Order: sequence, then structure tokens, then C-alpha cells
Amino acid sequence: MARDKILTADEAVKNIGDGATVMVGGFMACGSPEILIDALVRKGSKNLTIICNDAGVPGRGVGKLLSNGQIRKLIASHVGLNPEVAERMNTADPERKLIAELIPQGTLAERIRCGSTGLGGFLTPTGVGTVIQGGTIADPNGGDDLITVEEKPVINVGGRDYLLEKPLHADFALIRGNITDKFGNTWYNGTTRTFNPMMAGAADYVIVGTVEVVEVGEINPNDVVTSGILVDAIVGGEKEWQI
Amino acid sequence: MADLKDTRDAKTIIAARIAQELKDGDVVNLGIGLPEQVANNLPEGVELILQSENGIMGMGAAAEAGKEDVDIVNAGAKYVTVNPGAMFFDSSTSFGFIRGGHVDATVLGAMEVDSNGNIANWIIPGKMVPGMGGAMDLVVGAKKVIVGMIHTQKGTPKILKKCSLPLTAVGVVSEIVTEMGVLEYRAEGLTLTEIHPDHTVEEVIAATEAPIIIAADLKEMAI
Repeated sequence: MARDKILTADEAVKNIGDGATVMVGGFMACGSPEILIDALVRKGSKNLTIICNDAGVPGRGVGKLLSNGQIRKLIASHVGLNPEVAERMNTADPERKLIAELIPQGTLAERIRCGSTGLGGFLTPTGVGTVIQGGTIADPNGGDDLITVEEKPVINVGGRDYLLEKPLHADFALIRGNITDKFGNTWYNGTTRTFNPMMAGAADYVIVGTVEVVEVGEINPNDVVTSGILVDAIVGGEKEWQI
Repeated sequence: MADLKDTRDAKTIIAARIAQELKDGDVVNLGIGLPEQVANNLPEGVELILQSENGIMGMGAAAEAGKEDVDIVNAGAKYVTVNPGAMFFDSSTSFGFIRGGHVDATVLGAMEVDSNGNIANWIIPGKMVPGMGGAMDLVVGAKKVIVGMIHTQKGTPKILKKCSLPLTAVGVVSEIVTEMGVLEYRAEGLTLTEIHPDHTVEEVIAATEAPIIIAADLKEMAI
């Protein structure tokens, strides 16, 4: 079935250049493709825009890209559990400066799903009446504004206000599977699923780092969560996290 | 202050009281920290269906040391177990459950809450910018929003006339449970419905900036 998608991690990330926008699956690094992140760290691409639920932790998940100074902008819902984010957001050193764009978690997931499924956006009650509807939060210490959100259309449906939230798209997506066949069909274990299935459809080039690569036909079609039609490259050798 | 007879710490009192609010079979999302303790204080015979926004319906207890499944964590990235009948799902599905009104209650902490049911709990400009995570969706989508928090920040009121910090959501809070008592948002306004026996009504009023109505049937806190 189709071309050979099996690559090494270094081959798979070779086109992720400086300034690329990259989605990375996982939630606090559970479900993040460490093997692909390690390859991107080796490649050393700079000024990346990373779209991920969070900032991972130092030494794990996208935290490794952050520590290596590769992320210019991080689009996430929560960054509080990685202390390096605050340090890099507040630094005066332009080389280390990180821009964080914070998006409510459900909105982030659905914006990526819209990017994956051809929708022009969606209407959500989340964020109505907050800065997420539009506006800025100034830094009382005189630094750059902490939060800046472009004014969003508010649409009333059935008497309730909703914000129009638009799709998110990326150049690359790095996702993590537990079992992937050589076509790219992928199954996820436990809570590793997170943002991975939506990201698989929302980027131009999609790489799966997976624990086990099997022959086409070995995964029961009932268990396939992400279709191989969405996957461009498969990298085996993803490890289970060691506590 | 009256003599303190309740020797439990404030967070335990709050968790024990919130546990009384939840009914057997309720679908509940518990925030990180104090709200997690609610699960340890449930009355006999009450079992909740715990939702964890990273992708679990039917979350169980924390995993025993040495028996962790590295692919199963809660929204605080702690290793947990799942109960029989559980389901795993992606983040889009997860927030579909939340925004869709399929979560009966969410319990979370707050930096500030105000007279109009507004809540602020995701950013303190100049001090910390942790982000909202799933909180903005949870307070908008859950049928009941229970704020569990210490009544003041070292003596400074947190229940205000109007929140000063950036809001998490507008007009969504159902009730506030603190170590001093229980406050409900009723049609007539924010109402003290229960008071901890170690405190007086005057003490609660002094510790609260928002005007509060004292319920005609004010009860002793059910803990």
C-alpha cells in the first residue's frame, strides 16, 4: 500500500527549517514524540513557532526545544509547570526572548481540529467577556504587554454569545503513537492521545514517532484512531517514558 | 476570632464540605491542588465519575508507586489509575464533553471571585502567567461551578465587589466554599448559607469585600 514512509528521525525532520511552525502532540509531555523532538534538537532549527498544549517540562517534551533556545513563539494553553517559560518571557535578552500566546485548552484543541477538518472556524462560549475576546493585559512592571488578543467577532445564537475562533494550521506536526503500521495507521495508548489525532490532519507534513511499527493489516481497523492517509513519515523506536 | 475547635487544616475542611455537594454518579472535574482532596472525602456510598481533561472519563485513584502505567496520567501529570467502565479520548472530544454540558460539576480554586459570579484564576500580571489551561472551558461548560478556596489571601479579601485580576469567565460561579462557610449565588445576591462553628457572621463579613446576604435559615457548615 503506497510508498515507503519509514524514515529515521533525522531524515524525517530534515526539512523543518528556521522559522517553521510545528505542532507537537502530548499533554505535559505524556503523548509527546520524544524521538522526533530529540532529532529536531540535533538539527537545531531556530525561531520556531511551536503549537503544543503546554511547555512540557525541562528535559522532556517541547521543554527540550525551549532549553535549546529554538522556540521564538509558543502557542499553548498552560505554561506554568515549566519555570523556564517565565524566565524566557521576562528576559531582556532578545536571543532568549520567548513569546507565549495563551489559548484556552478546549479552544486550542478545536482550532486545530478545524484546521484538520476543513472548517472555517467554530463558535464557542469560552472566553466571552475576557481578554480572550480581544484586548491586552499590560505588564505592570513596564515590559511588553503580557497578553494581546485581536478583537474577535461575537455572534449571538439562540440568545447566547459565542466567540468566532479560527482554524490553526502548521507546516509540520510531530505526533506520537504506540502502534503504527507501515501505512501510518496509528493507535494510541491511555492518555497519550491528547492533541495527536487533530494535529495529524492540521499540518502540511505529518511525522509519527511510534513505539512499535507493524505490518499493514496487523492493526484491527476498529482500533485505528489516525488514518495513514494523514501520515507522511513514520519513525519507529519511540520509547515508553521511564519514571 | 472565636476559639478554634476544628483542628483540621482549612483545606481539609473545604474539601470535606465540597464532597457533600456531589451526588453519587455525578460527572465531576476536579482541579489540581485543593480540589483533588475532594475525592478523598466523599461520603459512604457516593461514587463519582471523574473526568480528567487530558483524556479520561472514569479516572481512579493515584497509581501505587512501582505500579504506574507511564501512558496514564491526570491533568496534573500525575500517574493515575482508571476505573472499570472508563474511556480514553482526545482533547477535542474531552472539551466537547465539557462545553457540551455533560460535566455535572467542576471544582476549582480561585485568586478572586466577585459579587457577579465572575472568577479570576489564570494570571497575576507582573507575578505569574501560568495560563488558563482548561479552566475557561470548564467554568463555562460545567453545570455547576464550585470554587473551593481559603477565604482570604493572608487577611486580604478574595471575595470582592468586582474582580481586579483578568477574568477567567463572567457570571459562572454557582457557589464558594471556604474554611469559614458556604456562599451561594441566589437570585437576591451572594448569600451566606452555612457558617463554620469556629467563626461568627461578623468575622465572615469582615473577611469578605463583596456585600453578602445572610440566609434566613443560616446553618452550621455541614462537615
